Amino acid sequence: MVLLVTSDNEQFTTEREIVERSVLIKNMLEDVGETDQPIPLPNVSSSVLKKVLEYCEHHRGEPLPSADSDQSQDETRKRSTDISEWDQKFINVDQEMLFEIILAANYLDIKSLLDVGCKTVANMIKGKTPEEIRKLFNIVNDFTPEEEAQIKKENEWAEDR
Amino acid sequence: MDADKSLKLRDAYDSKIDAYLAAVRLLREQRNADCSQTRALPTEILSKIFGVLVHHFNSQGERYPHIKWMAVTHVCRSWRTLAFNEPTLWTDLTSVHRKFFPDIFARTQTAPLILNYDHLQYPDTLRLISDHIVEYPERMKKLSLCFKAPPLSLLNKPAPFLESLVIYPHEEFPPDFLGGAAPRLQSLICNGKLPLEAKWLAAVTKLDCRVVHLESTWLSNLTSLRFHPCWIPLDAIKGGTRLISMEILLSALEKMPLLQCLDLNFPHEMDLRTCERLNPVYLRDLRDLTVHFRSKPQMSSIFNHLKVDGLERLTTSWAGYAEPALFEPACRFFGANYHGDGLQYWRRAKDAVEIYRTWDPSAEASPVLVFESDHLDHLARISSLLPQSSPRIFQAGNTELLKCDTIEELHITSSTALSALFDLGDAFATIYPSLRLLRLEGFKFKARVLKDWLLEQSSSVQLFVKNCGLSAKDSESLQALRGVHCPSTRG
Repeated sequence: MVLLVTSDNEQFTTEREIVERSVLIKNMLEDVGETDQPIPLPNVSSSVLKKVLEYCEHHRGEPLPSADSDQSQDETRKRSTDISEWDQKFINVDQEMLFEIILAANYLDIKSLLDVGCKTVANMIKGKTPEEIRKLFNIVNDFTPEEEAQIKKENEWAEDR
Repeated sequence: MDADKSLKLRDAYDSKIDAYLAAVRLLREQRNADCSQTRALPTEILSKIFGVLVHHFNSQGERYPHIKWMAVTHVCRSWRTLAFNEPTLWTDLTSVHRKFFPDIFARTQTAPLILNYDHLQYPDTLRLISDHIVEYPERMKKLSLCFKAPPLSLLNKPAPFLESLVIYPHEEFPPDFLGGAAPRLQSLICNGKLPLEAKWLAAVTKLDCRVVHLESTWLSNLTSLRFHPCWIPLDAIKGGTRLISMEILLSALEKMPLLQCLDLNFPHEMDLRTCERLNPVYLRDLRDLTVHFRSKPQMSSIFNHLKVDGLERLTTSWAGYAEPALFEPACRFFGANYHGDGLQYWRRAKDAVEIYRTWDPSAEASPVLVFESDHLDHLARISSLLPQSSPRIFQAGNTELLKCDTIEELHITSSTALSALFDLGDAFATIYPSLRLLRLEGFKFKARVLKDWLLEQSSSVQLFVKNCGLSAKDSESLQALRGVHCPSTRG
C-alpha cells in the first residue's frame, strides 16, 4: 500500500498498482524503493485526488502508453475527440473541478486522464462562436483595434467561399 | 474659437480617448489573465486542447477545416497569440482557403508539412500548393498528388522528413526523384511505374502499387502490401510487362518475410500452370490477408502454398459465382491458420458472407472471415470446413439460410429471407432445434402471415420486431400468441 498526502494535509492509502498509473508516483516509488514514508502531493487537493484515484482504480490493469509505442497510434488516440462512456460520466463535473483534474493529471503525469480532460474542454469549445466561448470561460474581448480589423477580414474571407 | 485652436483641442481629446481605450484594453487583458476560468491552464495544455480541435476538424472531411476551428483565435489576445505561435496547429495544408494560405503557411515556421494536391482545390490554391511542394521538399511530412502537376521531375531535392507519399498519376519516376533520399518514407501509394531499385524507396514498409518489379530488393522491407486491381508485373531484364506464374508470385512473397498485411489481386494475364512447389511460403507475421480471385479455380491454389502463424482476418472475393473449388482451399487455409475462438456470429449480406467471433451490437467489431461474391450458396459447406465454426447467431440478409442445429438466434433483415424461413415449413423445428430468438428488423411484412406461421410451429421462440412499421393492432396480435414474446414492436 502507498500513503499519499494532499495539499490540504489529507492522507490517502491506496494500492500501488492503482497509484502507479501516475508516472510521477511510479518513478518516485522506484527511486525510494519499499518505504512506509508518505508521498507528499503539494499540488493536489484532497477533493481532486479522490477523483484522480477513482479514475486510476477504474482503469487499473490497462496498458500504459509506453515510450516505444507506435507514435502515430498514440497521436490518433490522443487527438480523437471520442471519450468512452465511463470516462464521460466521470468527467461530468463543474468547470473548476475539470480544470483541477487536468492540472493534477498533468502534474502526476497520467497521460490518459490528461487526454480525457483536454478532449472534454475541446468538446465544450467545438461549434461555438468566439462570443459563446468567452461567455463559457469568463473571458472578455481584449483585442486591439488593429487585431479587430484583422479578425473582421478573416471572417469576411471565411464567408467568401 | 478659431479653427486652429479647435483642431488642437480635438487632437488632445482624441489622444486622451486613445489613452483611455488603451488602458481599458490593458485592464481587459489583465482581467482575462487573473479571472478567466482557463487562467490556470499552462500554455502547453491549452495548446494541446487546440490540437484536439484541429485534428477533429481536419478529419471530418470539411472543405476548409481551419475555418471551423479558427474561432479559438478570435476569443482573446492570449489564445490568438498562443495559436499563432504553435506551428504544429497549422501544418496540415491539405485544404486551406486560398486567402488564408500565405498567413497559415507563415505560421508553420519550420515544421514539417502535410500537403495535398487535389482536384477539389481552387486553381489559385493549387498553384500555391504546387509552388510550395517544389520549393520546400525538405519540409514535407505527408504529400499527396491526386492528379498530374506538378511534374515529378521538379521533385528532385531530398525529402528528409517525408513519411507518406501518394501519387495517383501514372507517371514514371525520374532517376533523381527526391534527390534519391527519403530516409523516413514509410508509406507509398502510387499508380506509376516503380523503379527496380532506388535509394528513396529504401525505408518503405507500406506499399500500394500498380506497376512493379517483383525482383526489387526493397520489397523485402514491406510489412503491408496491396496490389492494385489492375496491377502489372514488370520484366527487369527485357523491360515491359511480364507474364508471371503462381510460382513466381509465391517466390516474390517469400522474399517479403515481414509482411503483416497483404491485399492480393492477380494480374489480368497470368500463367495458370500448376505450381509444383514442395514447401509452403512461410509468412510468420501475416495477420490480415485479402485475396481477390477472377473466377479461375487455379488461383485459389495459392492457399495450398501459404503458411502463417496466427491469422487474424481473411477476406476473399470472386467476380461471379463462387464454386466450391474456389472457396474450399480458402476455408481449409483459414481453418489451419486461424487460432482464435469459435466463430459464433454469421452474417449473410447481399453479396458477402461475414463471419465474426462474437456478436456485440454496441461494438464496431470487424469480421474475421469474409467471402465476397455475387453468388455463394454453400454456407453449410463452409461451416463444415471450419473447425472453429460454432454458429450461434445467424443474420439473414438474402434468401440463403445457414441451416445448423447450433443456431440460437436468427436475425432476419429482408422480406426475401423471411420468405425463405417460411418455406422451411414443418422442417423448421428440426433444422433449428436450439432456436430461442427470432429477430425481425428493418423491413415490412404481413403480420397475418407471420402469425399463421408461428401458430404452426411447435417450438417456443421469443420474437423481437424492430423498425418494421407494424400497426398497434398487429403488434398486439403477435404479443397475444402463446409462446411468443414480442418485447418491442414499435418501429
